[in-house]
Amino acid sequence: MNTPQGASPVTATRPTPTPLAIASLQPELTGLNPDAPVKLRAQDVSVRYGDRMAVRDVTLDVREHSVMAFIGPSGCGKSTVLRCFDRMNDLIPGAAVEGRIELDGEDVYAPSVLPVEVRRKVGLVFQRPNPFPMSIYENVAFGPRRHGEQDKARLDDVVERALRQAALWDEVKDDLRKKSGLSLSGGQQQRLCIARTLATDPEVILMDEPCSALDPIATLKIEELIAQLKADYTIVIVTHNMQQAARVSDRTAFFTLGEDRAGYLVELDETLRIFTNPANQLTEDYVSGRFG
Amino acid sequence: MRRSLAADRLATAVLWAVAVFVILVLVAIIAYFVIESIPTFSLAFLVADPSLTDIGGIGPVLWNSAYMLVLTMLLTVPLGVLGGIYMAEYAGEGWLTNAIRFSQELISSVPSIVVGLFGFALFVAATGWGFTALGGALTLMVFNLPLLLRLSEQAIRTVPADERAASLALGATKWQTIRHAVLPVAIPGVVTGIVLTAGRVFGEAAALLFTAGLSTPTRYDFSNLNPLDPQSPWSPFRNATTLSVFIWKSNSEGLGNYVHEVANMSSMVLIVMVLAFNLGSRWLGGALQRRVSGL
Repeated sequence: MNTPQGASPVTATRPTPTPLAIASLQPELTGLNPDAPVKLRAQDVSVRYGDRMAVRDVTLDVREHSVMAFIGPSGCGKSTVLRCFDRMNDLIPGAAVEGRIELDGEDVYAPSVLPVEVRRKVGLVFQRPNPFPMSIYENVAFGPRRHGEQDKARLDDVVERALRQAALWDEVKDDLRKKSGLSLSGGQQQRLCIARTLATDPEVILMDEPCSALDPIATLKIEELIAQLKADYTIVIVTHNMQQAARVSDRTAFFTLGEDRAGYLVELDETLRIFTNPANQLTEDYVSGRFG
Repeated sequence: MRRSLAADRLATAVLWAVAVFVILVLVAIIAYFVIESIPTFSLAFLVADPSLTDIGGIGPVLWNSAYMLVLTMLLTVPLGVLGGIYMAEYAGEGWLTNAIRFSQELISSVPSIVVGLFGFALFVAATGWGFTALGGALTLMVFNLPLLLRLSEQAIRTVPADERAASLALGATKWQTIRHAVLPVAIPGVVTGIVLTAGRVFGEAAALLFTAGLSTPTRYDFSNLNPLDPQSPWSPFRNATTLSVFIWKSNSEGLGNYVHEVANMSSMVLIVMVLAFNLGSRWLGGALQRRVSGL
């Protein structure tokens, strides 16, 4: 974790996007490395819920070990696109995904691909912290157990490593089996959910407004965490908080609602450019607060 | 403002009064049977054989009640809980689901005496078994299964969608999700359902009159393990009057000198058993949940 990204938590503690100006001078350190392989790709992706088109014609790619932020007004399809990458849209009756979603160049929606396998590689952190009503230990061990790990010593290791990675270990190490995941504070619960995801050893972590139910201090901790996790994982985060997008992400995708009430991708660029000098007037209006 | 405060106080008072009234009724019932029973009650009553000339006891019928409970639950619980899982997680919407729901409601509203007649026609007459514990248990299953099915389905449905989504997002399969994320949360509700159905087994008389019969072998020999011997206490193919049926019979057509006392004492035993069973199941549900949640 002592890679140059160690500097990023500093970025996360500042409320303004200025530190990114420095970061962008060193693209290879910020997840803007143009040589990094493409981890996730959406090609002409449209999602319908029954007759209603939720989001249309989205094409974007996310490079390995980078953080991409999805911003935009409510209902513009950010979460919908996010949930294509781990096929969680499959759970919604009537949802239909068109176009192509790739993970490492492989079609995630190919008939031979099992959603379960996709979700083992692509973790999801939900908007509302949703730990299981079980002990802290069992929460983190849930994924590995379901994937067949039974060895107690190895499970102990995985649980400790995941909790350390999620910066929660020191706060809970004495109560692993004594306390329910639900007895933690909101911010701790969300870090527990992140630890639970990390324990399944994913390659990609999707975060669906992970801080919207948290107070500013808990939010800051999650943002610091994201900056650290970037070294080992590819992260896509949906957020309503534009400062958060500015603080944590390398690139930002701005979505909005079209006249047909379907969401679409307006602009995708380096985060700094989106917030300082966007190409599209709609983006400009949104990031400067003139929207709606 | 004053009016709303007055209304608030009135509502509090009325709700308190209702709650107190309900508790008083319960206490009065229990107290009545306890007081009526005390002069003649002894522990021997619980194990002795019934007798026409003396007070005797309820040993065989108490055993029959317990036996019938276990037999009925063995038949009902697996089907009821698995069916509940199916209805909540797999059935979806459609004509089949609607048909199942409709049948559930219909059977639940059929009077138990009618279910008893149905049981008589099917499990007593058509099978040629005569009055048997198994026939009684199957009849009880007929109207307990829809209830347990409904209650387990509801218990499973109340588990928040978040729990399922969290489990699936971690790469668990649908069955793993049900088994490890949904059922642990639903256990208290499922146990409540099981307790309710078990209570009906203990308390039911009408449906057993024509199925498990109005008589029972006495002088049980518990070393007789032959399941086909109609005298063996372990045999499902024997007459098996339960405690509730015994109470009904003592009270309505009993002969002997102490019919009234026997009915009262039996009622007290029945109430205490149901109470103990309820409390025990609550404890069991809590213990199960602690176990699966790793706390």
